[in-house]
Amino acid sequence: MAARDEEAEAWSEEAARWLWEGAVPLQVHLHDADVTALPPPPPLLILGPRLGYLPLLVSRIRAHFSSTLPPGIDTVWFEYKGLPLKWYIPIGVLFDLLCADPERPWNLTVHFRGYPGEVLSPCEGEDSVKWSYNNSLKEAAFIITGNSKNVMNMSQADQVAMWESVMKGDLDGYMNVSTRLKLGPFEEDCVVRTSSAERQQGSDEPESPGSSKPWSLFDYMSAVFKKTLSI
Amino acid sequence: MAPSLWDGTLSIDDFNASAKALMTKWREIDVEDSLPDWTWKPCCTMGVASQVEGFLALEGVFHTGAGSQTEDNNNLSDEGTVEHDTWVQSSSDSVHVYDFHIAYSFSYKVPLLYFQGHQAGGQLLTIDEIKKDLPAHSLNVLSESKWTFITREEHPHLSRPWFTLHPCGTSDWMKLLLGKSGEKDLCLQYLSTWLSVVGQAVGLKIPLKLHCNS
Repeated sequence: MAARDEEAEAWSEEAARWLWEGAVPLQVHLHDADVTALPPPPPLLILGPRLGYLPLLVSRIRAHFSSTLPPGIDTVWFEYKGLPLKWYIPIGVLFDLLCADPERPWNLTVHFRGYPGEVLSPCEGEDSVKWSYNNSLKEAAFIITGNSKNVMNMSQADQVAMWESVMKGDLDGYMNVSTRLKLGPFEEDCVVRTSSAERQQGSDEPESPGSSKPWSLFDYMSAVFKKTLSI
Repeated sequence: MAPSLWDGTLSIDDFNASAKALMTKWREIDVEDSLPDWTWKPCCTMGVASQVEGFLALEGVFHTGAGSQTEDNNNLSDEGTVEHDTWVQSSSDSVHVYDFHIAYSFSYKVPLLYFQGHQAGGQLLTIDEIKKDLPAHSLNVLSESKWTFITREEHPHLSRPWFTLHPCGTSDWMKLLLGKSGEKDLCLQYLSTWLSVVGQAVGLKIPLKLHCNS
């Protein structure tokens, strides 16, 4: 059991490194309506970190298109094939969900006007992303430990360091802070709760590893992957 | 579930049971004319309604403004021309229609309140416009309580941004309010107790009779 735990931890860290160092090549086109000078500017080629967020790229995108933007206040949003993109979802997740056949580079359109407020919740740049990130962290802490105290009690220095590490894609910096939050790696007593899994043991549910032993996240994910891959 | 050990949360099954109890009680008591009935909206995946997941909806709550705006001629008398169509506001403009939804949060294991308001013409109200509709008492609750603040988040079932009261702290104050109840009462009373608190923050008048034991 100890060797398996070590193996799980090693996989965990390697997987984390791949994610943190990964990026999606983006080709950002300026929406036609926002082009005020001809010829229209060429699209911007930029790397979107998998664990990063689109609003965090706006300053570089704005700089690239600055000569052709209309005057006035910008309300920046991104769209893929007509679908407004949810800014609080990491770039890697958006790409994996929306591009079944990976497009390289991924062609996105940026808008500086006409924010679709009835469809997208408002975003005021980096602060909104930071707030959303911290909120998600609190929620994750609540699910794992039953309360958000460890996140709410983070020192100012830790909060700043954590956000900086997310913005820079610095896994070591992140782990420095996150390990002290004691959110993982998942221990044996962390039970996976889902909406319908609690009540139904239908044919879709993976077999339980032991009689009354609660599942670790690792057990659950292994079982689900094995089932999907028919191993 | 021993009441003294209760942590202030409830399971999805208890939420559903409490929702049914709330809907029944609401229909039974003599609610103000301006308040419609709560309905249950099951969640749909791929066109199939779920047996378990859903949310409560109270829709079409009318709020009339403090008085319709009147023509303001003071600034125009010097100019000599009065443009009636830009200054007159019809009384229908001050009627706002609100929708309230109660959904279950799997993360926090508590109910979540989502709400939004429309003008008579259908345009969504901003948070400032909503706050203007709130009685002073509600504004106090919102500003003074560390547990109630409004954010704009995606509705879990409708995929659009709605206003919501942040759920953190809910289990703490629910434990304070219901911690001494008997086990059976706890589950069924949960939502009406919870609603009596959050309703205050959003100006939703909850009839006192909802809390009387029949």
